Amino acid sequence: MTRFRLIRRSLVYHWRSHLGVVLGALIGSAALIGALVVGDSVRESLKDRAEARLGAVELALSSGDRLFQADLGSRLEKAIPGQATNAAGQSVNLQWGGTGEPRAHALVLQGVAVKQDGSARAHQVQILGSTVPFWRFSPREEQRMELMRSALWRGRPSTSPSGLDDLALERAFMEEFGSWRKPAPGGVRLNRALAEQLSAKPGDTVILRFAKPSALSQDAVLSPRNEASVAMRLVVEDIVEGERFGEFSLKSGQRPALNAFVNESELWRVSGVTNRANLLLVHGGNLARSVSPWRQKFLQSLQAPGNGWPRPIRDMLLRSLRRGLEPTPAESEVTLRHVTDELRRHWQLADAEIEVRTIEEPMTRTGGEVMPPMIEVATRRIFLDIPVRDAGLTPRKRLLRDHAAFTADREEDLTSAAYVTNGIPILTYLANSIRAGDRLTPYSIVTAADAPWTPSGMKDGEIVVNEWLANDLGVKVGDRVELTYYDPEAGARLLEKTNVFTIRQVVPLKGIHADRTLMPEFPGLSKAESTRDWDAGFPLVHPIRDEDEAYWKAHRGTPKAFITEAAGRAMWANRFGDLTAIRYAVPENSFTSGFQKIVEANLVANLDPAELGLVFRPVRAEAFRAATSGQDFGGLFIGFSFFLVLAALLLMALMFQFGLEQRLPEVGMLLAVGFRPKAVRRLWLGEALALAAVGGVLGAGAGLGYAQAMIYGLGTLWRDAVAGTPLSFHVTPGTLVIGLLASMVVCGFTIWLTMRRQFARPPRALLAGSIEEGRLGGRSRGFLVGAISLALALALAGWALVTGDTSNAGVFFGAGSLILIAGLSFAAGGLRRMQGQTEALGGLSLSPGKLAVRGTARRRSRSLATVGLLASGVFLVASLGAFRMDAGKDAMRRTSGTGGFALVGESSLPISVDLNSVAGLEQYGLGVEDLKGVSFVPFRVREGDDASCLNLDRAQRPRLLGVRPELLSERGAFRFGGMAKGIASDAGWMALKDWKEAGGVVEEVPAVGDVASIQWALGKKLGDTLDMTDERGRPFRVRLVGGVVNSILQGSLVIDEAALSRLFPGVSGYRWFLVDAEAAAMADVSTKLSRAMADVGMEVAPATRRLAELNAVQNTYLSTFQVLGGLGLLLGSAGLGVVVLRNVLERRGELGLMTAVGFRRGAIVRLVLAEHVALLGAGLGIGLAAAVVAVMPSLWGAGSELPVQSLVLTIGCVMLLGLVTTWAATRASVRGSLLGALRGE
Amino acid sequence: MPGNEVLFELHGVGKNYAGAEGGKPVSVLRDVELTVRRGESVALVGPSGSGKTTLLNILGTLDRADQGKVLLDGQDLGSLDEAGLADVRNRQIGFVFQSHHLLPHLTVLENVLVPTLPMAEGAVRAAAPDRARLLLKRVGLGDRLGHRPGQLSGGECQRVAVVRAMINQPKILLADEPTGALDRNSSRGLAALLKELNREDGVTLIVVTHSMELAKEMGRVLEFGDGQLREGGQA
Repeated sequence: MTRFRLIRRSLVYHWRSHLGVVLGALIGSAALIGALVVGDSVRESLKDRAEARLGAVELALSSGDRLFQADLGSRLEKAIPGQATNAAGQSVNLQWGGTGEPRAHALVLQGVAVKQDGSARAHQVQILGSTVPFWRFSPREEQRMELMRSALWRGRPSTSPSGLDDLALERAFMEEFGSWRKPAPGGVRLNRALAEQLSAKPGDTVILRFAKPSALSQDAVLSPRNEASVAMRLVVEDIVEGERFGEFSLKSGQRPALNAFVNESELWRVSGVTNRANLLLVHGGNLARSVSPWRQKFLQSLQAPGNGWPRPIRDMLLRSLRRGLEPTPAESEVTLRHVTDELRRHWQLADAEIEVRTIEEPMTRTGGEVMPPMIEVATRRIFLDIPVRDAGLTPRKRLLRDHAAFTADREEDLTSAAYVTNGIPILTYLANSIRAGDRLTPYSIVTAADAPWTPSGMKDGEIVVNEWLANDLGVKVGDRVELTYYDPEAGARLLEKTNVFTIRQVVPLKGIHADRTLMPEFPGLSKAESTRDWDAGFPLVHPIRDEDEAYWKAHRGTPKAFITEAAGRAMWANRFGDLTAIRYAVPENSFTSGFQKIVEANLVANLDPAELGLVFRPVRAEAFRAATSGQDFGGLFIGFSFFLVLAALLLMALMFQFGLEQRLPEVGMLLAVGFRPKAVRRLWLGEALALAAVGGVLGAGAGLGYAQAMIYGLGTLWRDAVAGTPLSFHVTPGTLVIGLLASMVVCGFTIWLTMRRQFARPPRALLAGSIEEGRLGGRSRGFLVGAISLALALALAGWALVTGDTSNAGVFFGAGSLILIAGLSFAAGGLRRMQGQTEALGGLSLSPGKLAVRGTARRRSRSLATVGLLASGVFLVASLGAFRMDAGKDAMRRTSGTGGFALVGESSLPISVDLNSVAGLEQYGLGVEDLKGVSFVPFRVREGDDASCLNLDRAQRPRLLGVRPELLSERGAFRFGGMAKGIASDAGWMALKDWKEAGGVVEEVPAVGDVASIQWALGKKLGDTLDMTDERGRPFRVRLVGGVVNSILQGSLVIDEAALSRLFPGVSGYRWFLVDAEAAAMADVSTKLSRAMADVGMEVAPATRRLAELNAVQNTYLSTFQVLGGLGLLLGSAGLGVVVLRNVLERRGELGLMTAVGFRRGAIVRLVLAEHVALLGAGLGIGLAAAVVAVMPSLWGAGSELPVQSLVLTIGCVMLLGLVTTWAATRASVRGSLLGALRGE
Repeated sequence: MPGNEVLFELHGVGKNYAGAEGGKPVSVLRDVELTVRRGESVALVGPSGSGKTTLLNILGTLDRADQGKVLLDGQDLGSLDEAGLADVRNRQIGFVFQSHHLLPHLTVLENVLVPTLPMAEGAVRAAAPDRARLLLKRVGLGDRLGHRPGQLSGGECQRVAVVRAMINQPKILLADEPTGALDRNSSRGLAALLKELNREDGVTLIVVTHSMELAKEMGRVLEFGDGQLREGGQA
């Protein structure tokens, strides 16, 4: 005889009474494990998405509008494979995965796609000019490589693990190879998503329109407006599926990118660039890794043909092992460091669009005067980046032998670098006019540079003019001229400014003052044969005279005036830079070419390519991190299933208690024969854990089914909750084990709680089989707890009402919960008092009603459990309806989620004009009459991760929107849910203005986001910061200073436009618009805007629709919660039925006695019904009271309404279900002879 | 035959139960003085509610006295914690109740062996099955070892309960209305068995009973009345 045997025998003997316990454990475990598996499935599906969009890409260099040389990849390739160094400084072998080139480049441009017949249109299209190596990154290729790798592990490379022989593998390879091709000129390959949106099939013609990659930002005043966008008419060659890399995208998110793959050379031609790219991909799976022997063995056994593993389990394990082969963060770090180092060794100045050239103007162009040759650092981007300026003027301190182009670098070269300090910064810009009195010279190039162009010691308020200008204006030394120019930062707003200068010197148009190369190659200007051909980004308001035309023809952009560098910088420094060139005089005794090399080496040594936007990002590691750290659906569904689990546990506890009550004498006997109380508890706990284990194991099976049902639900009924992300069912072994253990622990703990009190009683009471119901009568703590809870609830709700914080759902939900606790405490106290009173006084004034009350009070804990279960269920399910969002409610109010804006517009191509101006509208063929009463709030967009609930990944780099805060502030748009500590509560949008910079570098930017985005998508709270890097690779912080409530701003962080421009000078124009329009004119405005701005891919939609899309996620979550909560309520009702049955069966003798003394059966049924309907009523009443408090915000808050319908429906259903269950249980239990039961007593 | 060695000593023992609705406590035992010697057989008689079973429970450590001292072999039971009391019950006391309280899911032999489970001594536990068989044979149940309680008569079940009480060779056997649920023949058989155990095994026997017949079999009869104990009462 052993304790184990005792437990086993007991389990077998009492199996019938254990069924209920097992059932409860099963349901609880199924809900728990199911929820975890849903979490697994979402996570794995997101990883699948990440793999689909990245294929085998490990690292990517995406340089945006900075186009590097297309051969950068092949230069890097020579350096790999190689020896890399890990974080510990050890040398590790880096092997490249994939077949062939481990890199691919592409030119990627954003655009719009239109079907030729205009029947379909797609915005935000990614147009990729790609080459053959690009396709080798396809997910399918990655899988093939994986098969090869695992075949190698097995040591039998002749057979692939999938059972394919070499031939089949080769065939698969060739088939794959067939898809590795670039489109022919005139052709385009569309990915599935784009083809479907355009309804395009092979042979159809589509038009792709995109912005030409411009040397100068679209925002620059001098940027040409015409030909900003170009179109390509192409024939669809084929549709590229996801597995063949059709869904390539660097942007996290679940919506597949819209990709159009075009011929690279053709894209270059149309874009006006040659051999340039802005995307470089590097292969993953690179580090030679050692696979542990057990893993190899396990893999072999899984992969062996006829291995006997059930397929789902085999797939689950294989997948789990495969995930284990993903590079670890440390391995990714090594690869990243290695490739970054190689980039530093192989990049060239031309990759950053920096040019170092020799300026040698012939005497014929310099008025017959010799101009000594000079070395110039310039860029086709016009303005030199700040780091280039600094690097160009600072002598380097290191040898460059580790750089591929400077392997022969010498110490003497290092010494010679000191000459760069003689470099002369030059800033050349366009003056709209130079005026002296009533004489005006239009459109003159002016150079800001110190000596020799201006005399040493010249003041910043002085100017040197050439003879031509002096003659034209009729001015002489000492006269004053007014110089008018466009503020370069004003962009599309074309803000003119004027400065007055005193003429210091008049110089002849000779030598260095006749140097036409001082004018940078302003696009649209420099190549124009005549001033009439100028294509500038501003209207030519001053008439161009014949003499101007003649000057242009003879001297082109030769500056007519010179000012000091400081004066020039004060006027024209902007976010793109503050110089247009650096010039160096060639030192004596130096060859021009030799010195040019010295300047080049100096720049390369001093510059980090990252400063110029040439940075590799570990996109794969980031994508996987985003997928794993995103919304935890496991946790979410545990939350959703919370009530179901609670109901199951309560049911289980009830069933266990019934069994325990029957077997109390057994406990007493064990104590009587000398078992210590702890030993008896352990025996019972052992029995309970065995039951929990059985329930858990059965529940695991049921949980998988439950999870599948949830996944199905998320794919159909609750599709909005996952923003339409396709989900597939996945389960990992760890989850099953954790779920099983967790459910056993929870069930075991519940049972332990249940038996704890009964076991604390003396053995004599247990032997007598009496059930503990605590002390009778007396002062009850229940009333005290109830009173305190009620007071707290009222105080909380009152505080919220007084402070006006009625939007704080948490407060009301908390107050509701307190009411629930108060109600249950009062019920507990009441039952206790009634029990005492009825036992003491019942005999004095007995009535059928009092009998019923007495029945309710006799099993207090049972009654209370039932009331609690019903009350919590009603509270949860009913009050949840209050949090449903109605996007349309009060939509025109500024404080609503739409900010009072009627429309939201988003364009694929940036819009650089001011749409609030007549000129801006005219650019798109719109008149003021067309858009009467319409105004725009434009936003600059720095693309990033969607940080809204529509993106299931954790947003790593949220999208930034730049706005002029006053535009939102003066409208009072959106409602702030709170401001960060230290920020004035009424600061609102103006808090964005307070960004911090040090030494011209932006360090911290305040941002406002949607409260939900901050909390859920970013996992942050107000006051927190996000670390980001700017366009030049410099880190900066985004501080979350304010949160707006339930708004269309979800998904992005809003910062000051000026800060965004400083951080991301490459972001040109505006791409996101909030549009104010009369409600009645909304549809008309929307149509006009969409039509007029079709070429820039303007998509205009009602703001309420956007809000409804976002609300749909929350509303769907609520539906899910309600459905699962409803299931829990069903279980709660079943619990009520079980309690009725049990109560009546226990009292059959008592009821028999009532029959014996003349009660009719109907009267007895009514008595029992009354008793239990009282419980039902109490449960509903308490739950309803709590729910009403919880839904109070609906009465005040915007965007939600009192869910009368769902409240009535829920209460009605529970009431009906409870009545039916009670009635059925009562009928069933009083069936048969009650007198017989009496005899049995 | 009873010796002179004192086994139980009760001095001024009292026990109260709480009244309903927080009313006055009900006194069940008051100033009970009692001495029981080793090997004695004692019958406790008295009307229902007089405190017999309460006293038996206090003697058997299933309940604690509110006042006074209970000494077993000179040891004050009031000074022991729950674990200590459980040990006393396991090694020194055997219980027989009016209801046999056999575990329905165990066989006769297994039921008898249940009190050996808390014992730590491996040797004792190893010898227990043989002793259980002997004892069961002695009470006439040698051929019923594998039967379940549900397959036995009431008298047989009560005999199994007696054997279960004796399995750990206790000093005292406490019986609470052991014949209360038995027919006349079974009652007689059980009374004989208890007497035999007292006589032959030297176990001290204290029986609470309403049966005059059983009380007369005991060497000493103590009568309860009004919470007090009187020597030589009538059952």
